[in-house]
Amino acid sequence: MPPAWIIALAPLAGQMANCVLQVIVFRLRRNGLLRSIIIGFGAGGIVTVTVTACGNRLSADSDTDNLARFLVNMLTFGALGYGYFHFINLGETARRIRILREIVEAGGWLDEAGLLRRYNAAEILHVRLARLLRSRQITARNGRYVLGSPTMVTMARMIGLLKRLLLRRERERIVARSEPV
Amino acid sequence: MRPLLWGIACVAISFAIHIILWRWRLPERHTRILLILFLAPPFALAGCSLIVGRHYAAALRLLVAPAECFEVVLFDIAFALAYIITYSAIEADSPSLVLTTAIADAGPAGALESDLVKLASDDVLIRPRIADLLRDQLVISHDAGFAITAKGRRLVRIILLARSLMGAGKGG
Repeated sequence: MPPAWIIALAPLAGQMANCVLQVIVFRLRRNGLLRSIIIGFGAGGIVTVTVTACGNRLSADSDTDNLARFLVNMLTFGALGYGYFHFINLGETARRIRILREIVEAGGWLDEAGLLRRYNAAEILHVRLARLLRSRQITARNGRYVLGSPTMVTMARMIGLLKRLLLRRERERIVARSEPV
Repeated sequence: MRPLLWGIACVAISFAIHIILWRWRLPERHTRILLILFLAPPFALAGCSLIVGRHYAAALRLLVAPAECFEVVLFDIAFALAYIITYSAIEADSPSLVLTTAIADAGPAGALESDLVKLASDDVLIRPRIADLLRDQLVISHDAGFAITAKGRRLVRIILLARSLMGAGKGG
């Protein structure tokens, strides 16, 4: 294979290593989704760096070009890894996916009351609070919840800025019971 | 150096058009328009480079080799997917972020669960997502309820495959 193609395909090789290792580690450990994601991402990064370095060694391009291609590959792999992390998270936390799954499990059709019996705001609140406590983003003290780490709040502020920039609002529109959805 | 510069240029052009377009008029189908916006520039660039040929492409400082075109297209696809997946958090309020912000706003005294329940009703957390599913034609209104479409089933199948590979639970 020509060195240019070895370099071009390096982020895909890295991402494949990321996916395979993440699944294997998660299935072996059973309790550490975040750890499996970190291990998979690290291994994928190593594969991307190694394959790119091999391609660069074989190519006759200048050091500047090789450095630029190394940068492109690391940025590409980083973006692919970030996308993969959120894809896993989508199945874990996305409400739309959960609603679709409930409709599928009910045989392909559900009315609103049936859907809300299976999946509702109370369950979301319970699951999310438990997840935030587990990840130490919040802590429980004397029957009250207090902030444990500023990470999520920083994320919320950044997303709020993008919301204002793109959508010109801070919160999404509430769909009331009386409105047709 | 060309793939890096063209890759960044394509992402920057797409993002600038995205901001201008969104502030001018919010499109009906956000994800579809974002995909077109982010994928059109690299594919157009790669097409131009391959069509005008190596000699003219080099003269015009375009990409000269198919491998370079592939690098730019892959770079832009990766960024497009990463951005589109992040955009869903911009479009819809994440319950975890809403809860954390409310707890942070409560200060050192903290927030009671009853305060948080007020923020987390079905009108806030469930109904807007049903509206999204209807808009994206993943479900349709049918017989006073919601019926899943073929598109919705395909999406669920992909997610279920990934989750069964990992041996994970229901989520949500």
